[in-house]
Amino acid sequence: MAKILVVDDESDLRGQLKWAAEGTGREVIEADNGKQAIKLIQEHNFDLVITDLKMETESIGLDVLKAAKEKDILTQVIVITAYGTPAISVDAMRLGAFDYLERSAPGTESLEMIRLKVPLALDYRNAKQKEMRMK
Amino acid sequence: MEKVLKLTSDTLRKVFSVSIGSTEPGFIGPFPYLLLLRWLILLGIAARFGIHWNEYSPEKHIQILSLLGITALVALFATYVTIVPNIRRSRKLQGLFIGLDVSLITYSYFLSNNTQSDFFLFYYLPIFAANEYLGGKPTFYVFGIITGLFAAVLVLMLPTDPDPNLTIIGLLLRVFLPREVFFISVVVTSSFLVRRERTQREELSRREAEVETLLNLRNQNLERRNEELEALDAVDHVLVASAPNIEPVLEIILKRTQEIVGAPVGIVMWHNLWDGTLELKAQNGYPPDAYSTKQKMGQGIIGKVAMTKQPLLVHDITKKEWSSVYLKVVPETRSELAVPIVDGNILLGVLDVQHPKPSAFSQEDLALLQTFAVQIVIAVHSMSIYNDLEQQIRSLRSLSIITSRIQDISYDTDTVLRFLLTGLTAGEGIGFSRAMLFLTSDDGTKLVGKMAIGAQTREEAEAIWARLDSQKPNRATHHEDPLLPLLDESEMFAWALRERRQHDFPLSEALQDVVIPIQMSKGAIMECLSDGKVVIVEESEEDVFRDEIERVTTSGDRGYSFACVPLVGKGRKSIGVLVVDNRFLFNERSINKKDVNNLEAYATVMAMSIENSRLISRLADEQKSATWRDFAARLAHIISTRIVAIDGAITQFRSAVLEQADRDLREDLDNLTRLLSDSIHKAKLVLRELRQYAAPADLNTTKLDIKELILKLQREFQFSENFPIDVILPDTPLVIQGDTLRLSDAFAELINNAQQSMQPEASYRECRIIITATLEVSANMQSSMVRLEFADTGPGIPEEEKKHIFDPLISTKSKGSGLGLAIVKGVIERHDGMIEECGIPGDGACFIVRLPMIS
Repeated sequence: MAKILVVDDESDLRGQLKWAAEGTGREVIEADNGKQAIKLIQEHNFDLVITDLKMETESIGLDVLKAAKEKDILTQVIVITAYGTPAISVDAMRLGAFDYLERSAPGTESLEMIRLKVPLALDYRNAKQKEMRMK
Repeated sequence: MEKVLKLTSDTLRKVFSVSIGSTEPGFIGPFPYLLLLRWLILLGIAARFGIHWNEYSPEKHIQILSLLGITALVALFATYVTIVPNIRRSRKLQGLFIGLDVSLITYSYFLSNNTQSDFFLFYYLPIFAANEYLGGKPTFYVFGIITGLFAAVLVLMLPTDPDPNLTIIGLLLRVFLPREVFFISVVVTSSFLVRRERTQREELSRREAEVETLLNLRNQNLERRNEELEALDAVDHVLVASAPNIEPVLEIILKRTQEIVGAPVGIVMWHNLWDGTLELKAQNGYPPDAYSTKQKMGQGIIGKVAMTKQPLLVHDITKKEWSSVYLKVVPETRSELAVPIVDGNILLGVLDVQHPKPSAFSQEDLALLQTFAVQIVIAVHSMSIYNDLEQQIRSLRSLSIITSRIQDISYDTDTVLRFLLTGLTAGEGIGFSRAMLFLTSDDGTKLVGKMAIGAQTREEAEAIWARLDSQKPNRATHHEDPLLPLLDESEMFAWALRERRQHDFPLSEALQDVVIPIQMSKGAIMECLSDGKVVIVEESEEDVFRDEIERVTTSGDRGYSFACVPLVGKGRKSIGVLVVDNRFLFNERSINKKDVNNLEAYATVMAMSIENSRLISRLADEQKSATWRDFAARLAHIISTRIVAIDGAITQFRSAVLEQADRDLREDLDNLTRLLSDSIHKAKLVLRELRQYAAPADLNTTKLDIKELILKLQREFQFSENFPIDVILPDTPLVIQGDTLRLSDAFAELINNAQQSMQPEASYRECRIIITATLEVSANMQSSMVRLEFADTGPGIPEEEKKHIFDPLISTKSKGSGLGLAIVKGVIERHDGMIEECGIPGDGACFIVRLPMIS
């Protein structure tokens, strides 16, 4: 059973993220701020973390990402960024994020994108896990 | 002993017998009587010789006579005591006569201290004695010559100054002439000598008297000189102590003058340069009812002196010749002395002294008064030098007072300018009579009257000054600096003006209607604006600006000097002109070099204040815009979050719809949600631009070649349904420091704009975009810019819209938020560049971007 953590301080957006992440064989846990998310990551083993970048601080999402990668390198993280932060997006990718997504970017229905990326991320994680086991 | 006595008496006897001139003992003959006569004659001679009548005193005579008596008695005694037993009566008489002779000589010696008695002593006595012994014998003559020579030597050796020739002649005469002839000749010679001596003495005493008079005169002169010097010294002291007031100096000069010339009445009349009358400035002994006396030029003695500028010494005022001139003020006055106080060729006043006695003043007094008149002129000069210095110190101090006041409290520009104008016009400041301020209009084409302090007419000016003067003591006692209350007053005045509770000065109100086109203007103002220097227009000079002011001030008379001072702001840009003059001042002093320095200092502060206040208002604008941007950014964020939520909700909804069994319903709902998504998409676009504009991200600059950037853009645009882009580039690389992403976004926006504007006309006209990059080097070769031209063949931007194309939310295109060009402008400006549109409406738009090259 895949364990997914969605982190967002806006409850309705978090609800939507949860909706996008839900599916058969997945358990979705919610966190409404970065700190709580990091605590949860340390307590549980997540396969995927979907986190907003800007919550209590401008880039708390990166801390969540770091915490997740520290706990388990196989944990995949999707960072949702706001407008005008390409530099941070690059940072996120460097830190090992599976993907980033500009939520308010015109032309994409971001929720749909996330919905599409969740299984991809999980598959990727499994593949990586197999690869590691092989080694 | 007896032998000695006998010998003596024998000798004496012989002597006496010889002296009588008879060898026959016992014969008296006529000789005793002749001897008596001789004695009488000798007495007369002695009296003539011995007594100088001017030296005569009874006490001295009695003294001498008693001495004479004693001597005579001694002689008598000697005759009788020593010789009595052996001589006869006649001999005794002879002895008496000899004693008398001796006493006579002694008497004459005591009576006079002069040479003639010496003559008797050293010559006559030995001769006389020898004659008694040797009379008639040849040995006598030998003895006489020897004795005479001896006497002459003695006389010559004496410290007194006898006539040696006379002595020798007398001696020889006595030797060779018979006794009586000699006596007569001696009498004659002596009387001649005495007369001569007396005339000499008289001459001498006359000379002495003369010398004494001269000495006295000199002493008197010295005394007077001393007094004069003392007076001048006192004047100097007062001059130093009483600066800057001339009155105490005049008073001390007057007092000293009166003391020296001894005049009970003295006045100084001062020339009123304004109306040409003479006013009482200082007095001593003047009747109180005459204090306010004003004298006209040519009226009275003083008036006459003032008119002719020549001194006047009147010995008697009651004389006919003065009756037509004299103006009776002090009733006792009989003589009067007046000298003009003239500086160069200008009459300052008249110094005048009066005396109740006729002929009380001399030419010397006149000279003295002239000296003091010069002293007064010097005093006036010192005062004016002092005043000049004081003026400068005061003006600097006033400026510092004003600036510190401006710094302490933030005043509005009008109040600050009013302070500065007050400083310029106040006597406690620079002391111009009027100050007028003109400011350059925003477009720099006109000078507009801003504010003025000063009067339009002389009457107004006098009223203002009288009011200020009446407040002066008040002001002086309450404050440290007399300028402060004036500033308080102008602050109140500025406030009242703002509140419309008070009218401005008529001059200021009139000035506010004055508009001078700069390009048309000539003369001082133009010179002042173009050179940025103070221009002084002298009294006699014609000037266009004077005519302009003339209309405002309605003062009628034209000849006066004024100064134009430029207010120079940042980058030597002229902000305005300050005009000052000394109109209506009692003494309309010209504007000099020192004034120029002060004016420049004031103008600098003025320009700074104006620029400051303009800067502050611009900052306020920017702050306002920053606040607005901040607000917009927050708003954009919040709305954006909501839109994202709606977006998500639509996704959820669509996903639910897709599971819908009913196919028709499914299609309808699908279409509906797509419509919704489109709107959301547009909303997102607008929000994105709004955020870009409101909260631009920091630049991430690197060195980049504009040429590469342009070529990349050209490639990107090639592949879609776009109009062709021509690129004209120079051979040299155009390297700048910039954010590649932002710049390419900005240029893309410009290309997009062009593409969109050409869309509707694509069917009937050739559409293309031409991007030209060139290198621009500034005139001074200091910096170079990359010039990029984005030209299209679209309809161009209509003239009326050109002004606003870079303003946010004004869009000529139907698509987009209308923030595009505003964002482009923002990006370019953040690169220290600039953008402008200079296309011709109808021929296409043309944006020119300039970005600084890396040197």
